[in-house]
Amino acid sequence: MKKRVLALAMAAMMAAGLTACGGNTPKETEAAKAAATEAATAAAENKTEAAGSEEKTGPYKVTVIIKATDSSYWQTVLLGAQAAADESNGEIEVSTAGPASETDIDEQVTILENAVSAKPDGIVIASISSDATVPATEEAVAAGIPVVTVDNKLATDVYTQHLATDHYAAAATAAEDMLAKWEAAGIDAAGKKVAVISADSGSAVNQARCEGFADKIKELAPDVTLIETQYCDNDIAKAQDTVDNLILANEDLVGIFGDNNHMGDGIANSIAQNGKEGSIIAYAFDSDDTEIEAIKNGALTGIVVQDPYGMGHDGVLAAIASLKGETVEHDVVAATTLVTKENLEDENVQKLLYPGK
Amino acid sequence: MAANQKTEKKKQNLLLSRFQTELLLVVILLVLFAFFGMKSPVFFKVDTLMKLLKQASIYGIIAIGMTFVITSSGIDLSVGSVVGLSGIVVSMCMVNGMPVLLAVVVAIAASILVGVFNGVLVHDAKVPPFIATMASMTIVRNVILLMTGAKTISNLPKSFTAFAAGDFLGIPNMFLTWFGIIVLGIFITGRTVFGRNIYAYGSNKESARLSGINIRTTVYGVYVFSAIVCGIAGILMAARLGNGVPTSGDGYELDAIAASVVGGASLDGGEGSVIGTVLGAMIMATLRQGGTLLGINSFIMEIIIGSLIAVAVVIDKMRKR
Repeated sequence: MKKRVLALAMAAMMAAGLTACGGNTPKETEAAKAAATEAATAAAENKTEAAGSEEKTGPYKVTVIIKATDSSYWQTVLLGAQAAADESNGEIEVSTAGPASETDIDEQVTILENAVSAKPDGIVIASISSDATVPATEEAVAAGIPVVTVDNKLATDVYTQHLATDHYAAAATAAEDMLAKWEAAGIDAAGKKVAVISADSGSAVNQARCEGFADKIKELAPDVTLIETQYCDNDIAKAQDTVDNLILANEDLVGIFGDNNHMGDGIANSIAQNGKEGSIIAYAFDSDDTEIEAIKNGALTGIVVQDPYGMGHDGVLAAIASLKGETVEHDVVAATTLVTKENLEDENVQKLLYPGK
Repeated sequence: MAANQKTEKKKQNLLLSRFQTELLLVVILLVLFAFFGMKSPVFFKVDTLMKLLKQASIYGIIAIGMTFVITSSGIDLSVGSVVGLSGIVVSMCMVNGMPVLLAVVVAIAASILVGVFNGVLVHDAKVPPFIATMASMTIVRNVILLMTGAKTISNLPKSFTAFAAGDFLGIPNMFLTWFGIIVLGIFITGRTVFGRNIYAYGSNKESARLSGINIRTTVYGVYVFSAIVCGIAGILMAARLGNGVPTSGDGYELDAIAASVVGGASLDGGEGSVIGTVLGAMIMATLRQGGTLLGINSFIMEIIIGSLIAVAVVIDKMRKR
């Protein structure tokens, strides 16, 4: 039985490979996609059957692998996953793993490979690399282990579910709000300048955020000048220096977007020290205490907040649902929220800002 | 005796060439000032210049410690981690109700521990400085992450954060702190036995040993000095950011080494100048600020800074030959 599924999955992969060699028309790709999904579903079904025939005892074991243990963002994903287990009355058991730092691609691949060999009932992974974890993921799916990828999309269609923030679209919501806030503050932005501060030039996620923001500004306010994106090595002090300099050089700076929370901290510090609250409308991505404080005192106008807790939670549930033979959506966009002074105190927003509290 | 005379003569030559290095750096700095001043209408505004001094301060402080270590033919890769450690320790102490001054003392003490650890590894265990300080860099950074759970420490007292934003007679406190350390660095290297020993040990370990220089004090001394100034930089950084940030200082070792080397320090040891290092740090800060003021693409700016490092060292080597 298992061999047959493996063969099926391999056939699907070969089909995908063939179409890649051939014309690669959208239709063919679609077919390959469908085949791959079918294989994944079949594999999952097979697993349920196998589990049934072996008279499965004990809870479902789900392994959750994060990108880095040194980050509170990824720790929040684990909190969410753990919450899903806690809510299940012992039906689900979650074990967690991850490399120490977000640069340890090799280590994460090893962790995933070991997890697959241990044959858990499901795997939830936030993969650092889009490519390096593909073979192990495909192997797991072929072996009947549902794999839910969160945050980063893999370069394969063989996965159970992909659950992630649409960074491009989420950043665009900040741009839309910026225009509304200009109007409310009576700022005529025509011919004036907007700056984008980025933490990392090499990260696809950060690029998507900056482009999402910049493209929306260009679309909605074509007469606004975008200053060259400034890169600050994820260093708060560098972001602060850069914004100080931008304010010095551009008296007509009316908007700033920072692509993560450290950039947000630096932007907020600089705006507060230069007394530019209200005359520069600033947004950033992700949340931390400094940013929340800055929203309260007006140095930041808003932050785009993701839901890592929800991703961990829903990722585990999707893996279990797939095990139980339920159909799960292949690609799911995780919700983001634009947090401003107006909704800061809302209960659901507070839950996003202080997960697990 | 002959060895001593030789060292004396070499030192005189070095003094001369160090002076020339500094002259070259002043010229580079003036050219940069003229260029950015012409191109940007705001460059010569007082506010811009004060911000420039502020922006150069943290690197500048670390680079002076680095110059001591490099002159002794060592290297200190742990500087960035010490900056992070001291910032976190001072923040944690204050958040838990400790008075500001006491918290600062505790943070400096924690930094000194790292310096002593580096000294023990390099002098007593004979571990090459690159490896020893790479180890402490990793250990210290992860101790910080463990202590904080990778979380930023906020809500620092206003009396503390106000120092970094404040000024005395219009001159930023951050620069005044740097200036104090510059004066101290010049005094130590020029007027103390310890300072002379650093150059002697850095240029020739064997003859330094034979002439009875206390090697342990010298090696421990440079790493502890580096750790202390990094501790000060870390405290300033926390005040500036208004937060204790676990990742702060990450990667600063490279900028500090660059400022030192542009300033005429030689990784072979025996050469290094506090003034040169200050000028090196100023040149790098000027390039970064000028780049942002003119809206120059930041990749191009970093390429220019990288090239400057190479060119400065090549010119220096050619001239000394």
